[in-house]
Amino acid sequence: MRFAAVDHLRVHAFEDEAVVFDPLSWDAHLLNPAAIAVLELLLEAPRAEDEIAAFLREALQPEEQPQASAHAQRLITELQALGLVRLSEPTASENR
Amino acid sequence: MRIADTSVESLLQRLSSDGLGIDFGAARARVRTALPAVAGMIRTLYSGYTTEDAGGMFDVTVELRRVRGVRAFIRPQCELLCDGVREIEPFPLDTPLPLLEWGTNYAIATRLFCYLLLHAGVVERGGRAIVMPAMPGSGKSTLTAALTLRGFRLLSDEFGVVRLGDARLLRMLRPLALKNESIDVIERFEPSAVIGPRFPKTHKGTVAHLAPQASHVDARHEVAHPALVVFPRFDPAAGVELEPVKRTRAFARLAVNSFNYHALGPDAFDALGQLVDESSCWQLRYGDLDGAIKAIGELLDETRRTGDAVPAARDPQAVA
Repeated sequence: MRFAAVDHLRVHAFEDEAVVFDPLSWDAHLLNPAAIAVLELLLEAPRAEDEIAAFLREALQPEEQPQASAHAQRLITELQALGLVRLSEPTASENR
Repeated sequence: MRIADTSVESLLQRLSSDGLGIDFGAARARVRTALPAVAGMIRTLYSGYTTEDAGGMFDVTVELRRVRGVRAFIRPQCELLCDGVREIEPFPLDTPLPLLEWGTNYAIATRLFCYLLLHAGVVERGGRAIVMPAMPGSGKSTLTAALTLRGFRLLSDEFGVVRLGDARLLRMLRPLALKNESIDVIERFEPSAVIGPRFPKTHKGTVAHLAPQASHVDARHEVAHPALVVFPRFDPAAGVELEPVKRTRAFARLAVNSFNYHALGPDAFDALGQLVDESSCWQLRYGDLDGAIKAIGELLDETRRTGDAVPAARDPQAVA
């Protein structure tokens, strides 16, 4: 299962935080550094949850790294709830 | 010809026939009324404006008139028609100017969708703007008025007019509405300030209007660059306290304080993002007007990006 950022998002970064414009609801959301990092990763390309967790693990302090998978799961859930992230269509190779 | 150079009689003649065109900068209104007292009030508050031809295009036509029928005799009222339609409730006949001013603001806020409209006082110095969004009762109008009486030029007390595409600030030069204690505060602060009659029985208490200075009116087609966003809050117990505000929080508070952010969607998001990006954002608690003005002036100087002031540019879209 892979996740992707929804199409046509607009992101305005300010220092380490950002505001994101949802093209469907026209709502703007304030995202903290971890959430904006994950969203920007998904704007590059769809990723699986373990890829997101690996990305977060590199960014976290050593003492927090064991919680990377839990962080990833929580962030994906929150970004989905905001309507900024969706499940990605499986690729042809994944369907085989 | 400036309105100050027109007699009350000829002004009333104009107001009660084709109407008086008034150019606020980012918007133009045609004002009509046959109420004689209002002509004198307009002459006082709009003295620095030029008399515009009532022909041509206007963003709104407002007509202030006495309510007919039974209301002509029992607790008489006045009403404001915006483009021929009564969109807001009538006021008592003895408060025509507050109805004209608030009603015109309402008409502008509900019609002008080519700009992002923030509920904010805006002043500038050297072409660099200070945007002061605030909730009612925060002391925004008092601070805006005081700044304009100490060398800052008024863009607007009510509307931060943000041009879509480049986030430059346009002027919506209108009389400043002072309420309750702030009327006396500004009269003491600058005895030469031109303040219109007091209206003690409005739904916001006593209201009086400060006339914009003629030199500010003359600059109404100049645009300003965003430089500071200051969220003011009057607190008599405070001297002057400044705290930085994160830009994401400033963005959210500005969006909430906007009249039409949600109607403009992505264009508003981009313009607001650029405005905040180019601004330094602060929370100001003040109990001392002179101290607040000094602090804002110093902040403006500190945040200057280059050694030179950004020159005020002529707005190419303005109707001269």
